[in-house]
Amino acid sequence: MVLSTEVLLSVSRISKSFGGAKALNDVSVDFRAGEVHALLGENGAGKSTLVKVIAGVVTADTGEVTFPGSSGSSDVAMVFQELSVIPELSVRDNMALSMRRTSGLLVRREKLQERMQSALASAGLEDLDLDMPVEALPLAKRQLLEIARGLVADARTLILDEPTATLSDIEISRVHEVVRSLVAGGRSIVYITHRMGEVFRLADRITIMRSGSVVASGPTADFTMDSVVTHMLGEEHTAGEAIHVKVNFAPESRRKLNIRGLASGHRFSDVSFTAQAGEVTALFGQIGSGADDVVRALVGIIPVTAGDIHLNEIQLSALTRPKSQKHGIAYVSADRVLEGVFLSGSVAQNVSSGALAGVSQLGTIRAELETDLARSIASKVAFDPSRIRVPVGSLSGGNQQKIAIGRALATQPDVLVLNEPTRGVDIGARAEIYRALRQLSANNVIVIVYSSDIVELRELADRVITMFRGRPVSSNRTTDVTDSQILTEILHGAKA
Amino acid sequence: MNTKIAARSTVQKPSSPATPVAETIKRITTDSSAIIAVTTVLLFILACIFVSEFATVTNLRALFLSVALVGIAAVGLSIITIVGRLFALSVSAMVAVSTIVFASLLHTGPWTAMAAAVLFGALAGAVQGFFVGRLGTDPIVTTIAAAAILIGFAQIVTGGRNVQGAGDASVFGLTIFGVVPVQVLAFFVLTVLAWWTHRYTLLGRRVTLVGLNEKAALVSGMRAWPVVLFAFIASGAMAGLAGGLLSSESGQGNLQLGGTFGFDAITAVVVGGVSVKGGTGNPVGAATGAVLVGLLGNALVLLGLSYEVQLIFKGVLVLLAVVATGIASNRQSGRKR
Repeated sequence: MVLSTEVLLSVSRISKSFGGAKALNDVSVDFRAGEVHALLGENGAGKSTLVKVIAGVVTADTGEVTFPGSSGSSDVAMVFQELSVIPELSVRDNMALSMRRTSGLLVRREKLQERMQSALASAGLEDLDLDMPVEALPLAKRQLLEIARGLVADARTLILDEPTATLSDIEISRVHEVVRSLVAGGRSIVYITHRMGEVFRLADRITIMRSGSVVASGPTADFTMDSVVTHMLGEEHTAGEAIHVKVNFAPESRRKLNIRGLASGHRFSDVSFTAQAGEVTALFGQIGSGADDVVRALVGIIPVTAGDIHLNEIQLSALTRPKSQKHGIAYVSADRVLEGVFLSGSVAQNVSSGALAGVSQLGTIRAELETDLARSIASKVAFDPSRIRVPVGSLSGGNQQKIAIGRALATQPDVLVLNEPTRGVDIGARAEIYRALRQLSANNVIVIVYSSDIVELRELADRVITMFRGRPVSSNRTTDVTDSQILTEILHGAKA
Repeated sequence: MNTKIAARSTVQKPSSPATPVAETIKRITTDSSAIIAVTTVLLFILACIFVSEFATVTNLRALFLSVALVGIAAVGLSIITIVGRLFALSVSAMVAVSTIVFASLLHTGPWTAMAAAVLFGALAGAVQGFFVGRLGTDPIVTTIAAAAILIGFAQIVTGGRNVQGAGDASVFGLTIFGVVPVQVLAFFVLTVLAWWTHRYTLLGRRVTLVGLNEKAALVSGMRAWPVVLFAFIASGAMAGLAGGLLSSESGQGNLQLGGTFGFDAITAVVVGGVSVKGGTGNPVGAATGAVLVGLLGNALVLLGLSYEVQLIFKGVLVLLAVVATGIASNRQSGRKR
């Protein structure tokens, strides 16, 4: 393959901080015409912040993004991982949404049609009916439509954020073909992915980020699978260690959750494991692996279609959220704002919300009981007990998450299930949350988490169950597996 | 900026002398029902000073009589708004049909007739609450449909005619201690009861939590629909009571009665600082809102302004209230506007 030299997009010396945390630190990368440029890194490495800076969604503190050889930032189009097509609208309307930059008041219909058709053709969708509602399209075609939307804006640089995360192998190869033909036409593609395999199949150039900095950049030929993983994790990478806590209960009273052959529709199947108090069990997998659906099924948010769940030898069936809560299974949602907390409610109201029976007498809420509960929970999750009257909406993300966890703790659960327990939480609060959760497990609570962050896995969990495409791959003590084995399993499934 | 100062003041130790004042100021500026109470009192004082014939016993009694029934319906409606289901647009219809129920059953005695009117309201509310809560239908559309069905049935049953009650309803026309009419007393008692329930009971807390964030409530295992059902039943029962009392004034039942109750109750709820987003505000706010609107109307009449002008004033008041509630609730949750 010939590496061209024409730079379409140049990022130079970009730094960006959010609050105190440095998200990007002096990042410089050039993206060239005719190349697929893979942008790699762990969650939180700064990839998405970088592309947001490029797309102009986020403003950098220092440094600049330039477009040598073109007029302006309209030369970049972003294709997001979460599909941004509107399912109820037709293909035509969805395409038209991306064409607002058309100058002039009136647009000739035929001309519009022509541009749409050519963009669709470039995205490998030439046979698509423009009047078809997008929801009737299979997922892969929707993803290609996303790409076509980027093309219709006539951008020479296209940023694709995990375009294949939710696709099957055949669908992936289709996306790859389109990407190949686009770079052959002189475009530059920035390709973000977690799938190691496709990097080597597709990319001409690789840039690896870690903790906000570029740690390696060069032609694909200079890298091997192992060297990429090493760069992503860092040479000096000493796996974070879970702190050890002393088990605080008699061995015969140890609580156990037995899961056999659990399935939920097409989301996941054949999931079996035993989680017990005294250790933190983690389900680990990419978005779309079904690992997060396992925890949501456990708490009754999505239906269980096969298999059974025994908690301390008692079978739990037909779980709904209220029912699983009655059985002592508490849940902390991944979406803090939408499901985690009552933003306008005070900390005390939030904490007591799941345990109203415990703070009331004869149907009347006793203010002093509520205050006591809020204080005691606050100290358990390392939250300042003098702030329990403050509305949760005015707290930082980390503190809000502590309250979301506190809300679950107030129900005095036997099982605590957490979905992405520290998403969007700063490092200090993370450590406090990990400590609280591990302490909890030592007090005879079964703690189960879903996470997509390997650092979290290392610092929080004792046991890890990896998942790939709706099925578990392996179950190991975290001390017995290497990072690269875990990553390989969630990216490719079991070793052939 | 405001947010930061306010947030810091709550962290201060309660022993600090500046804190109680700061706390009170904060509570008033963030609690929209406190704003409305202050406004009402100010308006009352202004009316006493500047509007002749306002501060007479006769006028004040007439004022509170005119406010009481709408107030009862508004307090009921506020529960639906707090639980996050916007408004019931069937309030007028339920009041109107309740007048028929009361008048038709007056021959069995005033108390049974009143009980029947309340029960009718509760039942009608329950059906709507089941649709909105359990089946997840849109509250506005559901209650419009319910209003049409209720009025339709009542038209068929009455043949569109006035129903003359055969019995003595004078027990509801008494004045307690010679000053306070029964209807005003009922308004006052129900407001206090609703305030207490909202603030201190499990049920009230559930209504607030579901209104604030239904999904978060579900995450801790709380079902929303029984709470929504309760809100509609309570609201319906209060509309039924308002209808019964309205009918007892004339001893008649008529579908034309209570026609303005729906809009007036919504006005009272909104002016009373109950957020249409749910969860914030309280029934006392709605009651105060009803008094404020009545007060304004009364003063404008005494000043000789026409009905049309009053209507414009009402509309402007609603808009101002919506804006003020939005600002207050933003401040309370510490979010930037």
